[in-house]
Amino acid sequence: MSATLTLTGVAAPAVAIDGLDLQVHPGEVVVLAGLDAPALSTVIRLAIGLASPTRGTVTLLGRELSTATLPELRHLRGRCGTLLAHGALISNLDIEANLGLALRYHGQRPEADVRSEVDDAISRHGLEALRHKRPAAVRKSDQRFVALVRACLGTPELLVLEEPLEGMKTVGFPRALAAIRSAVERGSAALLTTQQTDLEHAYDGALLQLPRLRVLRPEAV
Amino acid sequence: MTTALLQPIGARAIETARYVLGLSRFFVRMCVAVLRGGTAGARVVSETMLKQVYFTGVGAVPVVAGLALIIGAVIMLQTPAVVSGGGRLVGTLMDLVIIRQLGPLMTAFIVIGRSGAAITVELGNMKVSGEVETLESMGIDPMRYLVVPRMVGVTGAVICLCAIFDLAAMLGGFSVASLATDMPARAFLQTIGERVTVSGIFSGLIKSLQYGLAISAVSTYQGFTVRNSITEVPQATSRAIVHSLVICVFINLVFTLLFQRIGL
Repeated sequence: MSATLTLTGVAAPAVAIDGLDLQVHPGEVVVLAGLDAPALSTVIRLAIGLASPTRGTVTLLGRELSTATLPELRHLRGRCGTLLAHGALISNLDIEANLGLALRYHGQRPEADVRSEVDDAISRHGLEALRHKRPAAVRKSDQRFVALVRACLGTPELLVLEEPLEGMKTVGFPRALAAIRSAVERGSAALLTTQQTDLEHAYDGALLQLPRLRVLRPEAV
Repeated sequence: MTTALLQPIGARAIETARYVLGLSRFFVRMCVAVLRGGTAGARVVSETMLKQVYFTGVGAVPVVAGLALIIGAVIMLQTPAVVSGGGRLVGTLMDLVIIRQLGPLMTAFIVIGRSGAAITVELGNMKVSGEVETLESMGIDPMRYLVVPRMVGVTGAVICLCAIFDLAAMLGGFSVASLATDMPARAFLQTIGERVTVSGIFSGLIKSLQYGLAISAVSTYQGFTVRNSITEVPQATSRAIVHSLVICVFINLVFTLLFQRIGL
C-alpha cells in the first residue's frame, strides 16, 4: 500500500534539516518528537507544500509536490486536516462558521450535511457556549482547540498537526486527544510534531494513548 | 556630485516602477480569479461578497446621500448668483460637475476613506496573525476567498453609490430651487431634463467602475504587503489611502480626456 505522505532525503538548511526521510502510511499515526520549533514547523510546511525543500522530494497523497501546480496543491491540502502552531481562526467568522469553512469551501456536499456535521462536532466536543462567538472573544486555549477540531472535521486523509496538545492544559488533554482520535478512527493517517522528548510525561502522556502510533525521534531522523 | 544627486531620484524611480509592476501583476491575478470563476468555494465566496456589498454599499448610503444633498444644494445656491442667466445653466452644471466629475470622484473618496482603509487593516491584521497562511494550509485560495469578494463588492458598491450621489445631489438642488431661490421647481426640472444626458450618466458610471477596481486592487494589495509586524498595518493603510486617491484622480484625468476625444 502506498504511503499517504513520504519525505525522501529532504533538506532545509535554514533550520538544519538535512536528509530527512519520513513516511506516514494510511491509518498510521506518526509523532515526530524532539526537534526544535523552527525545524518542526518547517517539516509541517514541507509536508503540505507551504515550503519547498532545497533537496529531496515530498510526495503527498500520491502526488510529488515539486511538480504540482498551485491549484493542485490547494486541492491536496483540502484533502488534509492541518493545524499550524499559531492555530489561527479566521477573525471575522464566528466559531461555527470557522468550523465549517473548509468543508463549505471544498465540499460539493449539501449545506444541510455540512451544518449537521458542524452541529455534531460542536455538541461532541462541548463547544456549544462558543458557537456564535468570534475568536477574539474566546480564550487562546479554546481557539487552539477549535482549530484542532476544525482540522479533524470531515474525512481528512491525512492530519498534519503542529504541536497539537501545546497550550491545551485548560481545555484538557483527553478532550483534545478525543478530537484527534475520532479522525484517526474514521481512517485518517496523522503526522504530529512536538518539541517534547519525554512523551511519557509530556501532556500527561496523552500522545502515547493514540492508536497505531509510531514515534520518530531526532536520532532516528 | 551629480551622482549623489541622481542616485536618490533613480532609486525612487526604480521603487515606483517596482510598485506599479507589483500592483499591475496583482490586478491581473485578481481579474483572472474573477473571470475564472469555478465552483470551488462558491458558497463561502458569495457570502463574503454579500457582506462586503453591505458594508461598502449599504453602510455608506447615509454618508454619500447626506454629502450629495449638501453639495447639490450649495451648487444650486451659488449658481443663480454667480452665473448670469444661471437658471439655464443649472442643468449643464449638474451634468458637467455632479454627474461627470464630482459624483464619481466624491463617492470614490468616501469609499477609500471608509472601506478601502478598512480592507487594508483587515487583511494586514489577517497576515500578521497567520490567518492568510491558515487559509493556504486548508487549501483555500486567499485570492478567491479574500480578494475577489472585496473586488466585486467594492466595485459594485461604488457604481451604485455614484448613482445615489447623483440622485441625492439633484434632490438637494431641487429642494433649494423650490425653497430658497427664485427659480421655480418646474424650471429646475426642465433644465435638468434638457441638459443631463445619457452619455453624461454613462461616463460617470464608467469612471465609477474604474475607481472601484482601483480602490479594491490597491487596498487588498497593500493589505497583503504586510509581513510580520502589526506596526506595518498603519503604514500600509496610509499608503493604500494615498495611492488610491492619486490613482483615482489620475483615472479621472485620463477618462475625462478620453471621453472628450470620443465626444461622450
